[in-house]
Formats: sequence, structure tokens, C-alpha cells
Amino acid sequence: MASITADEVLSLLTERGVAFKRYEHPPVSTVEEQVEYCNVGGKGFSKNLLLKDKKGRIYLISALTTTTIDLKILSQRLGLGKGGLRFAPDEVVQAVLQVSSRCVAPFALMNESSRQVALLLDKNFQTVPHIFFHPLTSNMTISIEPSGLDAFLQSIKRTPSYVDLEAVVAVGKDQPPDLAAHVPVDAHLANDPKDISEVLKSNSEQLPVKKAEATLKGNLTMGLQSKDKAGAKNSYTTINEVNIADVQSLVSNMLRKTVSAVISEISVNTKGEHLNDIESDVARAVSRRLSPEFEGLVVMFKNTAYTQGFFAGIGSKSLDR
Amino acid sequence: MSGDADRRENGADNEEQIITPWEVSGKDGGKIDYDKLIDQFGCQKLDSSLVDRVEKLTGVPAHPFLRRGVFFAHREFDKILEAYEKGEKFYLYTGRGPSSEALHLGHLVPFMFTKYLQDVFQVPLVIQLTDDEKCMWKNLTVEESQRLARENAKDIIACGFDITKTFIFSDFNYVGGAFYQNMVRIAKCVTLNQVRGIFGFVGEDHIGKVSFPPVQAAPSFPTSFPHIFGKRKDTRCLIPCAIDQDPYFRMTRDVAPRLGYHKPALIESLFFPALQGESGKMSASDPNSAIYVTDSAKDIKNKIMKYAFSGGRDTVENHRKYGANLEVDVPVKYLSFFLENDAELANIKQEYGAGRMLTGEVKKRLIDVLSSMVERHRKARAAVTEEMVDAFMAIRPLNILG
Repeated sequence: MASITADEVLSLLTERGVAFKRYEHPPVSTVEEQVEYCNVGGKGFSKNLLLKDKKGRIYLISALTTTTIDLKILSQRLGLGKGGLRFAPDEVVQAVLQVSSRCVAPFALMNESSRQVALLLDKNFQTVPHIFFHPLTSNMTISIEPSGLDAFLQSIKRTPSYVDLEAVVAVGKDQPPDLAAHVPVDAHLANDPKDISEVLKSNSEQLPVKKAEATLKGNLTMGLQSKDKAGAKNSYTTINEVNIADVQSLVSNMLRKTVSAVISEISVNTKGEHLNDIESDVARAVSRRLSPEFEGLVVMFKNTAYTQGFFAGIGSKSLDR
Repeated sequence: MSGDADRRENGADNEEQIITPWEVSGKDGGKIDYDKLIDQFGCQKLDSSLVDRVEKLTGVPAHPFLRRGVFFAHREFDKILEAYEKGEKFYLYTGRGPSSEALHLGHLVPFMFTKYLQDVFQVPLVIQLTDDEKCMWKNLTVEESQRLARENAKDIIACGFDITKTFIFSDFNYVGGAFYQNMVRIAKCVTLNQVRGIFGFVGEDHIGKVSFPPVQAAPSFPTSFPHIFGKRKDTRCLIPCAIDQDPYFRMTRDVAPRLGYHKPALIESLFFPALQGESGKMSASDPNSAIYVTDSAKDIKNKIMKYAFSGGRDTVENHRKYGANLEVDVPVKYLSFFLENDAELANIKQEYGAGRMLTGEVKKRLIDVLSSMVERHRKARAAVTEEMVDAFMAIRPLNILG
């Protein structure tokens, strides 16, 4: 398929009702030149970097010129180790994005050849009224609203996902690579679920499943109020923590809170403070009545959510996007 | 795997009770002597000290099936607990022979217990659907047995297993690869004479039957599931099942050390009584012999009132005088399985046994308990989609760290 032209980009945007402003100028090779020619001040201009990791996977980072990008930190956050990310050479930019390295932009993802490119968008894009990009040619610049960028990405079946590119995240044994999910998967993936185990094995460095799970548990733990313990120093180890993935403790926690709330409401309404004494008996009785039913409902909910996620995962790896 | 009794004519009357995976009958057609069975098979009685140990280890009250001796026998369950105390996880293995679409409450018992074990020990579970076995023994077509396996999987899932820790597979889909390698290793260790002795195969039986036992043995070894356990050989296996499955696992336990695996541990249950009592036999052809998960509240009421064998006396006067015969009363037996509240059950036994409570009352309580159980199951079953079945049966890694 021939490479996407500037006209095709503009047509797509028009078709999708994305408003844009165009600025035509002589071909430029730097952002400074671009800003000067457009003459609207420097706010909202983008820098677009095409990067490559040691395994040949490609990443397009699209950010405001004012956002600092530290490749070393990003590399670690992606789970690629310390020196895992390099700038892609010009030949790669041309081959994958079908465009010169002077005018790289998210629009290049319209090309077939860029299917496997991972896109990381600067969350600061959402703080400016307009973002300026080259529409795949260096003699034009267009500006679109952040919502227009989203609409464009959705039209090429990409989910816009914004990342805090400047965050300094110290990746280590307690902090897994937080951007690991953005690392692209191998292109020759079969859809047969039987092959998933192979894929998961080979992707195990990119997608640390167990670690990701641990983070999930950690991030969503809710400390319960404990009368005798002071706050725990590490939310993973408190014995009163509620593991959100554990059906029994979740239901137990919810029922206890409900009973507590009901008792306080009744106490308030009837001015009967003594009701607090019966709270634990009531909690026990209610738990006996409702726990089995609620646990059944919650485990079905968990299974349903897992099933949906499972198939979303398979679908997102499918070749026909 | 549940004891679907399949009568084989043995000619003479039963001098001894006969318990095999395909036949269950008491001596002279009477009730099963479980103590004798434990002796006959050589397994251990599950005593209260083990139940206490489970409660201590898990921090919650033991399941009623454990407390009330429904699961009454074991092989090396104490070793599993010892290893667990030291931080060594194990995995659970249970299964079902999908011979019919309709499951009755007796079929649910091992699954309800297995779910409890999974929840309190937080361990992975594999569930085998032996569609090949039923194809061979019940003479179903391959396609029909596969279809039944999938339908049964939905009822099994409805029991509330956690998909992140559970792998369901059917033999027709899964046998192959590492699983088949283990089947062959097992098969090489068992002679034709041995399977004849254990399972009663005869010359006229087709070779499919003779070569089936390794299929049911292989899931006892973790290397049969490389996507779950990788290459680990030392993960222990605990098998909750009805006691008629013991022969398969006696064979497996004999083979295990020769192949370098731990012997699988077993925890075994009584047979679920038929509605008509001792003389009755639960049979797929007689819908009134059991309560099915598809029964409506009306069906349940009707079946219990009309067919549940009562230990009550023939007249109210006699009943008040002599009390009920709890040994044969089916409603009380069913309540022992399914009534959660220990105190209430004890009270019923006491009052009914003394004649102060009447059969009608006991039956009514049972109808309540069973109706809500079946209703909850039906709701859960309705939430099981084809995709969920696919996901449970997909070859994927499980959360084995709890």
C-alpha cells in the first residue's frame, strides 16, 4: 500500500469532523523553524520521536516540545532495562512511518507498515488548547484540539492513552515497570488460544504478570480500621488489609461496612446509642444470611470480568485491526 | 467420576458389598458398611483431629461436609496439611464423567466441597471432564459426549470456582502433549492383569476401556499441566472424590513413586442417598430418584413430599411414642448434607428422633433449604456464558501463588 499523503490525512480529519487550522510554509527541518513560520507563539508544538528497542520493537513518542523526555527512565518504565531505547535510524523511520524523520507525527500511524508501533502520548497534550503537528509533510503544519487527536486515533482504531512522560519512576523490586503494557507484542501471533501460552512465555519479561498482579493488590488495598494497630508501614503486609481480588474478604468487608452504616443510621434516628453494642452480633447474623449469596455473586462478577479481559486481550492481539 | 452406578450382573447374590467406579451396592442390597469399606480399600478414617487441624490452618470453621463426616475417609491428607503448614502449596484435582445433561444434588457434593477447599487453602484446581470415558462406557457418540461435557462445565462453574485459579478440561480436547506423555508413563507401569483385578475388565471388554485408567490418573501429576506448573514435579495433589473412585487412585498411588512424583492424596465422601432410600438407586432414567438442579420449586416440593423415604412411623401416635428412625430417614440425611446451621440440625435430629417433631415439618424445612440452594445455583448458571466456559477451558497460566 502506498504511503499516506498529507491530503489523505486532511481528508480523514475532515471526514471525521475534526477541526484543524493549516499553516503552509517552506519545508522546515527543525521545530524552531516550524514555530517561527507559523507565527502563533510556541505553545502546543509537538516533538515526535521514533524509538527502537533491542528487540526491534518500535515506539512513537509524541509530546509537547516543553516536556522533558529522559530515554533512560522511559526505557526502564517500559521494562526494557536501562539502555534499552535508542532513536530509530532514518531508514527505519522511512520504512515504518513512510515519512521523513523531519515530519514524524501520529498521523503516520495511518500506514499499514506502522501497525506494530506503540504510541505513547504526552499527557500534557491535554493541557493546551491546540496541538501542532506536521501532516506528514514538512511544508505544512496543522493544529488540532486535543479532542481532535483522540477522534483521529479512534478512527484508525487506536485507543488514545496518555502518559506522564516526565514522571520519574524508580523501577525496582517494589515498583514494576509502569509502562510495560505499552510494549508491542510480536507480529506473528496466532489467534489460537493454545499459542497464548507460548506468547506469554516469550512476553514474560515485558509483561510481568505476577508483579503486575502484586501492584494491583497493593494499589487497591484498603486498610481497615484497627483498634489496636497503628498504621502499617507497608500496605502489602497489614493483616487487616482487604485483598480486592479475594472474594471472601471483599464480601465480608462490604457486609460489615453496610451493617455498621445501618446501625449508625438507626442509632441516629432512634437516639439509641446502645445499638452499637449489638453491632457485632448483627454483623455476624447478617453475614451468615448473606455471605454465601453475595460471595456467589461476586465470584461470578470476577469470572465475568476476567472472561471479558481475556477475550479483549486475545482480540487486541488479532491481526486484523 | 461421581458414582453413577451402572449395574453389572454378577450372577450370584451380593455376599459382599460391591464398590467400583461402575457399581455401588450394599451387602444383600442393604446399606453400605463404610467402616468395612475403609478396611477393604485400605484408606484411613478422617477423624476429628484432622478436622481441627484444618480449622486451625485455615482460620475459618470447617465445611459442614467435613464436620459431619460426609467426607469421611482419606489417604495422606495429613501429609498435605503438614506440607501446607511448612508453606508448601498443593493443587486440587477433581472431575466429572459427563453422562447426562442433568446434574442432581449428589453430583454437586464433590464440587461444593472442592470449592470450599480452593477458597480456604487458596490453591489452584484442575477439573477433568471424562467425555471419552462416557463415550466408551455409555456408548455415546464423541460429539454428544463433548456437548454434554460443555453443558456440565456450566453447572460446575456455577458452583463458584475462581477462574484465576481453576482450569477445566475435557479429555477429547486436552489429551496430548505432556498429558499424554504422562499417560504412557503410567500405562507402562500397570499390567493387564492388574487392571483386570482392580476394575474387573474381562476379555469381551473393548480395548478403549482397558486403556482408560491412565487418563484419569494423569491429572494427579503436575507435569501434565505445563502451562500451570511448568516443569515442577514436586507439587502435591489432593483429590476430593466419592469413595467409589478409590480404585483409580490406588493404582495411581502405586505408580507415582516409580515415576518420581508424590503420591496423590485423597479425601473421600460417602455416597449421596437416593430419594427413595437404601433400596432405591439414583438413576438418570428415574427423575424421581433425585433432586436435579433444573427442578422448579414445585418439583422439589412434590418430590420430597411424595418420594423422599421417611423414617417417621405409620401413625402420629406411634411416631410420638417411638420417634423417627433416623438411620433410614432420607430428609434428615439430606439436611445433614445441606443445612448449614449445626445447632438447628442437632435440634431437628433430637426432636424428630424423640417423636416430638413430625415428618411433615422436617420435609418442609428440607424443601426450603433445597429450593434456595437450587435457585442460587440456577441464577449462577444463568450467568455462565459460552465465553466464560471457553476462558475456563483455555490453556493459560493460573494464579498459583494464591
